[in-house]
Amino acid sequence: MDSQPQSPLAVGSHVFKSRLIFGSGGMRSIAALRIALANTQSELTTVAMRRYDPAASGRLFDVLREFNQQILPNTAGCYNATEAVITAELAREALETNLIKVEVINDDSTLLPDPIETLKATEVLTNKGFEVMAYISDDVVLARRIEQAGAKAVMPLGAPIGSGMGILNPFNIETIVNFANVPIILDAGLGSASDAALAMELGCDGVLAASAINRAEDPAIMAEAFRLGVIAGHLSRRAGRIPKSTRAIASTAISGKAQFEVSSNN
Amino acid sequence: MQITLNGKSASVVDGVKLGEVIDMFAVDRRGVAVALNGEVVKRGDWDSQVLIDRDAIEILSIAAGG
Repeated sequence: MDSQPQSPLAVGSHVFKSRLIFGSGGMRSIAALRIALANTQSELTTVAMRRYDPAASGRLFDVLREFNQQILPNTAGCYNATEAVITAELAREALETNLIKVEVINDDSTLLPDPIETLKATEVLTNKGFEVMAYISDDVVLARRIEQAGAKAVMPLGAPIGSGMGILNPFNIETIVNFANVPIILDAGLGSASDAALAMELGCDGVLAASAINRAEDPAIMAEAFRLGVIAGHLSRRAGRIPKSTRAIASTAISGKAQFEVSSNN
Repeated sequence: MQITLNGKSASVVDGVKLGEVIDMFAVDRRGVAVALNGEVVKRGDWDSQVLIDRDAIEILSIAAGG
């Protein structure tokens, strides 16, 4: 086995030692963010672009720099490709990164990603030199189309944002993985570390967790749990699980077992 | 003249440069991006961009977001 418990994650021109991407959404405080970054050991953290807030903007930026985070800006809150493209351009200008997590939702009730606008934004931003990580539903064909549009990573949801329901359609996630030529990052809907481990066992290349950590009763411990869950799932996938069988298969050899005379009275 | 700065009306002197408005509004320029009338203005152009009456400026920075 490699000396490193997990191999690096490569997204476009970027390489990350950790396969856990930390989402800063929903964090309770800057102090909580510091602990989460320390405990997840993530190297990539998502942020949103919002109107400048003199009380908050600089502190978040400083903490992310202190923990050597590569910043992954997103287009959260955008409802169409046009909004997403200008938000991405502003993020590139602010952060001097060509990475962008494209997130275009269709309504503020389900928060489900809009497949058509996401595809459009992915095409336009790829042509503008961005390295796009696209948040999508767990649709197998859409994942393929997003990859063909130039995305450097495809990020299917496990369940709706913040729902904590885990991976509702493991078959689709596994099928997306089997057809993909770019990293698949499970994004949204996870609730616990076992969900992260399952994502990795299904073959995902990484996991993004925000609400599951930031809204946990104890975010510091959940951050550590997610770190370990991602590593465990990654190793489990690499190790190769035993096939599932509808019959029991004895693990102990029968040969060599002693024979005993048993009285019928017993 | 009047401009709109992050959705609010503001009075500024005629001929003011975009960079001057940014420095009045933001503590520092790190991690900041600016749109003028819906178009991104590159950092290198902030100090030469002259504003005109009714310009709409959005000054953005990072915020927590998943």
